Amino acid sequence: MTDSSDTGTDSAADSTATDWLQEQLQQWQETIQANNPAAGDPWQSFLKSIQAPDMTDFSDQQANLIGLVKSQTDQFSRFTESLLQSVKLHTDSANSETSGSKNPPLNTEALVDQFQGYMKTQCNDLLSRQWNMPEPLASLLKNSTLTAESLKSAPMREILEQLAKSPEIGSGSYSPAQMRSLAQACIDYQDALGDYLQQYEHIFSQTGDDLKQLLQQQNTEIDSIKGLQNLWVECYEKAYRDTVFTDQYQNSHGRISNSLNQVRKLAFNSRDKKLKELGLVTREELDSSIRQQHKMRKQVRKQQQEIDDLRSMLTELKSQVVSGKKSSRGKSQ
Amino acid sequence: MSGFKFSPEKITEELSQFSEQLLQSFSTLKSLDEIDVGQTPKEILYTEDKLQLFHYKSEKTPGRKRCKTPLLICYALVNRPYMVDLDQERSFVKRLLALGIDIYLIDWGYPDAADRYLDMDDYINGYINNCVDQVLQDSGQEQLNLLGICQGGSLSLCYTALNPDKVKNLITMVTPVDFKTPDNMLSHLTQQIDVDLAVATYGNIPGAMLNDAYNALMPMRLGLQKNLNIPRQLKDQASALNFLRMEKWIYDSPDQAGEMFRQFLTTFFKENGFLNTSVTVADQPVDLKNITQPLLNVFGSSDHLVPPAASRALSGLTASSDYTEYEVASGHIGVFVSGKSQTEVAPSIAEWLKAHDQ
Repeated sequence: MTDSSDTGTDSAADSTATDWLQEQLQQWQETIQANNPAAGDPWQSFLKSIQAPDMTDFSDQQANLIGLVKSQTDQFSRFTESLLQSVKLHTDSANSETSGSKNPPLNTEALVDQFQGYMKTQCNDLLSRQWNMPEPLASLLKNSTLTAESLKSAPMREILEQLAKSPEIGSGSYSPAQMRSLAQACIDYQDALGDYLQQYEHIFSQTGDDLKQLLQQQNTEIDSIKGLQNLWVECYEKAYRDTVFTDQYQNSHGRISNSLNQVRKLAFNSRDKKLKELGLVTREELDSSIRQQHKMRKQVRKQQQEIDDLRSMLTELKSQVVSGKKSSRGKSQ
Repeated sequence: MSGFKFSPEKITEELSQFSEQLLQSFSTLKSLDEIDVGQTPKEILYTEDKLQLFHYKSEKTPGRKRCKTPLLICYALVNRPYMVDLDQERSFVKRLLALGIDIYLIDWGYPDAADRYLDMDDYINGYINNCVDQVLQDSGQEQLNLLGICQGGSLSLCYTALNPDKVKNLITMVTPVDFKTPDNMLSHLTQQIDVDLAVATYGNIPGAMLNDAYNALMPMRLGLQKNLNIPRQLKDQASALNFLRMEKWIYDSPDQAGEMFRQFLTTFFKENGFLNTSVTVADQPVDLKNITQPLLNVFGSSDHLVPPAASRALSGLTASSDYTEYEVASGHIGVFVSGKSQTEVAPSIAEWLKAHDQ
């Protein structure tokens, strides 16, 4: 799923995508030309073509896809540039040290770590969307500063703990009990998130270990980022499967889902209270009326069934009466 | 370690290739109109609330045997039924029609707040039963063939067990029966979910939540890896349309009526109702032993959503003396949209139906 707020469907968002593509291609063109001066020409015509105004004419689905591709390409581009830098540095230093002899192998461990960092950024983004994290937490996760440990020591937690215990809180629309429940639910959510992040960290580090091991054990020659990525995905899915089937992971998964739902439910309840104060229909009232309607509908269906049954009995009785009359007429004649 | 053979030239080449694909993908996207799905001609036979019952009329080819018993397809409540008619090259429905099978299809529509309390009784004894009656009336037959897909297969099993007289033959496709096989990841992930709380929170369960749950089964393969391949998928119009139609279907997820979701998850995922003979619909016990009609059970050998063992568990649970398993070398969706589906699965099903049409 893509975040529609990120991808946008209006022309402003489309033109942002176009601007981004243009910027991206120019940057790549420079990088590519620096390494291969002959490769740049085909870009010029395209760079001109994407300035055409009808480039902004995308459907919702297309705009979403562009958003997805944009976000991943940004990261792919950053990683490729840093990898290119590392490889060039390595090649240059190898050339100056061995002057003409074959390059020594790259430091695979360091490269895997570098790659893990790249994948982590993308996974964190995916994770924050999967769990619909509140924006402040999602931002922290995206820049890798949100960890199971940091959640325990975050100052926010202290504030929430104080709120959850305080007999003084609550005013206006919110009763002290409501405020305490909400604070407690937020604490539970943070704990669940911390627990879940621990599982996630475990899967991630297992992936890195497996990848390194695989590169050591096999005679696999990885010479492309795509190849490396495919191998990494294979390792991740294996580590994930190994973890998901454990009771610990299932508890953790259940805990984060339930605690998130609890926070949302309390938030909806608070909204209901506010709606009631304003004299508007609450969700609970609407629900109750739908439930009644549903119950009545079931009764109608049941009665309809009874009527149908009675009708068919009546039809049968009628035919019995007719045939009875016929046979008695026959006897009397 | 000696796994890496990177060189500046290789990386530059890859970057260049990727950027060319990206460039091409933008141009392809720019050239496309709205993505069409479900294009096989059909008529609306019946509507009830959000539900629509479609009728696809089979082709009358001289000399080709037609199936006189109509086929009703009962799709799952999750996702949309046009997966069986994605495009003209990947249309399970179109293939069956060409083979002389008259088809009726239940489209459940998009439940909204008014459908919050719809339950298994409403879906099975209400909607499905009404659709069955409509099909029988329209076709002039006393019985129909019922084909249930995935969750729709579970519902079809319940319906047939409760109304055996109306169903001549039953086909279950990628249908979960044993919800607790050790390899069922989706089931493992749902065990600790407080479904009462989820329904109390959302009312209807948002379709996007289900998408997230499905993506969580192979998060990197279905997420990052797929996304990075998007430029390649969009290399030309034909490939882009194939990809976009499937994407459209994947993310076209109706919300789930809250009460139905709660009952289904509890009865099947948590209590494994078919295996424990504990399924009830409106207080009526569902006894699979009431199913005596011929039964064809179709499943994908590499289905990650409904593992083969989950479907195979049906063997021995019914009283059918004519039970056949058909394993397709594909995943959950491949059973309907793969090339094999078009050339092998649809013809095999049509043949089976004709053989059981006396």
